[in-house]
Amino acid sequence: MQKCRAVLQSTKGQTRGVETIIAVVFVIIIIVILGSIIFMESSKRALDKAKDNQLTYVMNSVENFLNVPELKCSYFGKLCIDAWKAKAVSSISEEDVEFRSYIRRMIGIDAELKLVSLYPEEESFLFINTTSGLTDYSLTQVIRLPVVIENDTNEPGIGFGYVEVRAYLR
Amino acid sequence: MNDKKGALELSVNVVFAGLIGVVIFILAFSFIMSNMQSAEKERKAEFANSFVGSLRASYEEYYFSNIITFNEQYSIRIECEKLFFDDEAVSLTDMIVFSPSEFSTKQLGTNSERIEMPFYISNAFYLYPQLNIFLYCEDCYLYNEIPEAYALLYSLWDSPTLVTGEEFAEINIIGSGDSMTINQIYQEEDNKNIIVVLENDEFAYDFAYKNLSFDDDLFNHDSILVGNISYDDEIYPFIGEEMLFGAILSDDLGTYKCNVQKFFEMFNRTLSVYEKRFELMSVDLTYPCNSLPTNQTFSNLKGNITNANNNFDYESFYDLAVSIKKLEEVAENAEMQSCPSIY
Repeated sequence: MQKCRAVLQSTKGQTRGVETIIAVVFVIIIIVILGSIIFMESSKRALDKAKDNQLTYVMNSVENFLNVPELKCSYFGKLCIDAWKAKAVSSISEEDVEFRSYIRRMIGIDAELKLVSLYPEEESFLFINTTSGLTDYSLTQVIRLPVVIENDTNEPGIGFGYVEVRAYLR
Repeated sequence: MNDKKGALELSVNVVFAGLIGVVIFILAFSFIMSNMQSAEKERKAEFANSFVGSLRASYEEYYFSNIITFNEQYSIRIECEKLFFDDEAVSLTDMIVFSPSEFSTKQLGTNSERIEMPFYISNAFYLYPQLNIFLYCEDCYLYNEIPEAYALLYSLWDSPTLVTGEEFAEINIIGSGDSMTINQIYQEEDNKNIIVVLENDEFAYDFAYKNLSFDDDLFNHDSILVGNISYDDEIYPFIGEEMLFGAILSDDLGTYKCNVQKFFEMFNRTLSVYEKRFELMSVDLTYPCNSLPTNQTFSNLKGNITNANNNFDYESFYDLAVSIKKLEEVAENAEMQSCPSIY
């Protein structure tokens, strides 16, 4: 009888030990699962936030670029482009790598950037296209900014159009 | 015997659970710590980027001044192409930033000025800790005795104001009436003062001060000022009021020179666009214009920029100022004859 009780107690002890281990492992699994969920959720949010930030950055950079003295009108305020400066920038950018890398630095992303004049003349000037031949982009965003276009040699001297940015984000 | 076995099993379980607990605690602690460290690093990087972003956004503004207050003491270091906030670096490519090369501060003063030669080229940015600039004038008893460069500096600088109403970076013109004053200024314990004296002033004190010489014979008051600041046996030539202040604020010739070279590069680039613009426009021009720049006008100016960049001395800066003045005259004549604008 005593022998029987001893065996029973030993089995009970072992069962208690196994129970403790199972409980600890269970708690660890729960912690790991919760941690992974929180981590994945926060990573997703961080990614969304990064994309939003990137787009805001693109907008700000392009606006800054449109205000450089190489493009902006002599007398009018922001978001006004001198048509002859735009022609000059387009022509220099086509030939000069240094100039292209300057525009690339100013806009801060790979993009195709051009000015499209709608009135009085319909024409377009490509400033830069850094994306030819590259395909590993996760997001393509097209942004159009309306601009005033000043032309010293035309009648009327003021027209309008837009700047198109085809932004390629990784 | 059985009681002992049970007690042994219990203590093994407790030790095992304790060990697991310690492991979990260490893992959680190191995870939290590394997260906190990377969050702190990200915060600094974000701040550094947003700081430079806000400077970039102020392009085209005629003037701004501001004080940025940090939660903690920041160490700020400028290496021409890079700005370091503690160990976080941000790129300063295409930005002209004049500053002392290294300082620690809880409050950062920032100013911006447009550089126009005579067309807009860029903004010059100034970063500085709380400081005072004393312009020492040997014989200035009356207002009209104050040298032009001093008066210009005084009017150019508009310090941001602290909540207490004090100016964050004050400029004072002081006279020779009290010779002790300047000694006291220099001997102040946390010496954040910059003392500027004119080259011709006989100034015998044996301590560091910035010696200013300039030329105002060539141009009238609203044109380009050319001169030198000498400090620690090194010469900082300047062209225009914005660089004059840059030279005063810089304590490292290398960083100053690098920023002025950035200016030359921007000037050259803008000039290339204007030259091309004019070349394209003149073919299309349907009415006669007598006052237009020739190719020589642009190439002279570009040549003088290259000389100033290579020689980096007063003479080459002076020649550059002369050719800028010539382009300005051509532009004025074109405007008077209703020709297209030159820039």
